[in-house]
Amino acid sequence: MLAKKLLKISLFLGLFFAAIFLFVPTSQAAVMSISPTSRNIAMDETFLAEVQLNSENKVINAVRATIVYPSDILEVVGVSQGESFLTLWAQEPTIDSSAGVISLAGGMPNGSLVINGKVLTITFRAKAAGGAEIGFDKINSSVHLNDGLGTSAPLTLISAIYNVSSNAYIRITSPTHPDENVWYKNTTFSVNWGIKDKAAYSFKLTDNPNDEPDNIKVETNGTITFTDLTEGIYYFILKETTNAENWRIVGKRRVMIDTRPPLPIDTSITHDKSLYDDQLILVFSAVDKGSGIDHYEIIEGDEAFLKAKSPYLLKDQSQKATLIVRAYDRAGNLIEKVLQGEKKKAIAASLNSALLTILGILAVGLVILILLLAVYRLRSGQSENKK
Amino acid sequence: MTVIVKYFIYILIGIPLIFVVAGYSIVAAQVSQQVIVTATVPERPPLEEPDTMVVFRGIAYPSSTVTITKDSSVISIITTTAQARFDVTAIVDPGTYTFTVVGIDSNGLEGKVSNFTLLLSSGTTTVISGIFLGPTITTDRNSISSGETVTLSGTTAPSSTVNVTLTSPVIGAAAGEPRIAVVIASADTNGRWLQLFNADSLVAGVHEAKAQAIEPQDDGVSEFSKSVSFEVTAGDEIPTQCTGKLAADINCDGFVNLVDFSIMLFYWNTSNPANARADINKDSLVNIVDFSIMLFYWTG
Repeated sequence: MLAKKLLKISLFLGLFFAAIFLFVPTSQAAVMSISPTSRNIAMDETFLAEVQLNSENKVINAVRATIVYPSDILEVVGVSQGESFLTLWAQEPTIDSSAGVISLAGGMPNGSLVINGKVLTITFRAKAAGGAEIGFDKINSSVHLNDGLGTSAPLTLISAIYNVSSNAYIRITSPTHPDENVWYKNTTFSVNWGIKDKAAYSFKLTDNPNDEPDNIKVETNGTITFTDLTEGIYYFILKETTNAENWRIVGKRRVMIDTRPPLPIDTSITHDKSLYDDQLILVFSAVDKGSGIDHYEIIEGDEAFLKAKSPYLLKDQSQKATLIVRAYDRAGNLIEKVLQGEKKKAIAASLNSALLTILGILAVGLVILILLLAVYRLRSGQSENKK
Repeated sequence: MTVIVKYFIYILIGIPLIFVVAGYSIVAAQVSQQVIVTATVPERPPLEEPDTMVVFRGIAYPSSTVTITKDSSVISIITTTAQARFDVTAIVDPGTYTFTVVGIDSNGLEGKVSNFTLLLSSGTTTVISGIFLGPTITTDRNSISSGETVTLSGTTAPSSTVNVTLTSPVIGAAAGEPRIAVVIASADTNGRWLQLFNADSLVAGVHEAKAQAIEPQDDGVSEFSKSVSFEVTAGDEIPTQCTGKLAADINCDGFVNLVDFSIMLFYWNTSNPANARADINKDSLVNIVDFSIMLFYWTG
């Protein structure tokens, strides 16, 4: 009897809580995760993992993340801020390869509601077999609300677990894009691999690393070329069979293409008592939505371009020299901004006004001269007539 | 079978209960006037790939312009109705973008921007509805002393209630937490609102104000406006360059921009910085919290 009562109560409560979990919005905590959450990786394969953020209907403006990974199984080949919704970086991503830690702090002016926003892309290489968990250091990871107080938002952190097998893929090379960890501008992509006798191949070029070719045999000599690719990250996935039945993935090759230059550079020449003894400095920032900003260069007057970081102390404090700032993305696309020397502009402006004044005086003088000549000729004409 | 019949009554109660709770949560979402983002995928793959579209729907300022940008490129400039409503559809390439919606009222005052970062999948239509831009706000003076009055004014949706939040310093308090007061103002049929503050009713120091509107038609709550600040001074005080400036305006030039960010980076992760204004929240550390506050007040 008691058991039946308990069953009834638990059924009722079960339905009630099911209703709550199904329909009431969840804790509304922001969610920071590693994507994809699971994957099988071959030995020596390089692969991408994204740090993603979902702000769950909250407007947030700053993100601090400390990502941890097993440094005995994985090594970081590089990180990319391209396509990140964060536009200002208080702390650029830094990698501690011995401890297996990546740290960053970035933000977005005036905040944003974020749905599946990309924070960072990390390129890993699998160097040993085993299970690898990529997660976050909870204490040193936070998301802050755009409330003017820097309030830390409730945050759920989701790790990813990747399984690195001891099997390695065959070597696929590319004469057009030799390093799969480097961004290129070239939109024609070729791949080569050594074909086996009596083996059949099927392949696919896709933006999803987990896609599989369709197991339909393609006649090939081991060289494939794709043309007119739009920018993005693609995976050439190769399957092989030696008996026309058991197809298996034998190779993957990534290609990264970025043809667009960075967005316009934001600059400002200023001075502040707390920076470089109140001397003139140039502050600058740019965003690249593809491969991410690689570096900046500055030229002052007739000097050579030099790599630079913001804030940049102006060598020419008189501001007569023309300044050019260039921002390069990781594929080598560049955008530049020319800042005419402020003093030069002022001199040019004063020269222009002086020239205008002289021309004005000359014009007025010329008109008076013409009038005087006309009067003189009129008078001399009249006196000749009288004679 | 008999078990199913026996517990049929619980299922009978349970299913309506699910819908009651569901109904409550939907109503709750509407009352809190959250921005709602929905994505529609075509039911069957059509012969031709449909356009990827994004729709923005909401309230700005009456008979004014709203500009929508995609990663800093303008994709649409539209005029709102007399009731401040706007509804715009844009065709874009699939991808991840940050869309910015910003309005300028009929007096030329720019409101606070509203950003949306989302991934648009190919062929889907994403609707961002329930946008309610924060009121525009301005102040007629930066500094007032005894007997003087400062006027805060701006525009929002017609006939709205406007909650003006005033954050004031606390003199001599050990905790140093600022005092927050909310004053209720009303917008007229043209959406104009104003609120006066007299120096005699305020403590000396820098006061920050921001506004939020409640629209009468469906009780929608707007985002916050930009923040403005003014300083209440004792009569004999000489104003400095930083008088009445926002705490995030580190170099006191009237803007919160790259220059302030650069100064903050100079002192990043330090304690008790030489330039005390770099520590915006005055907790002796220059860190992510100061960065977040700066980004909130960003003027560009």
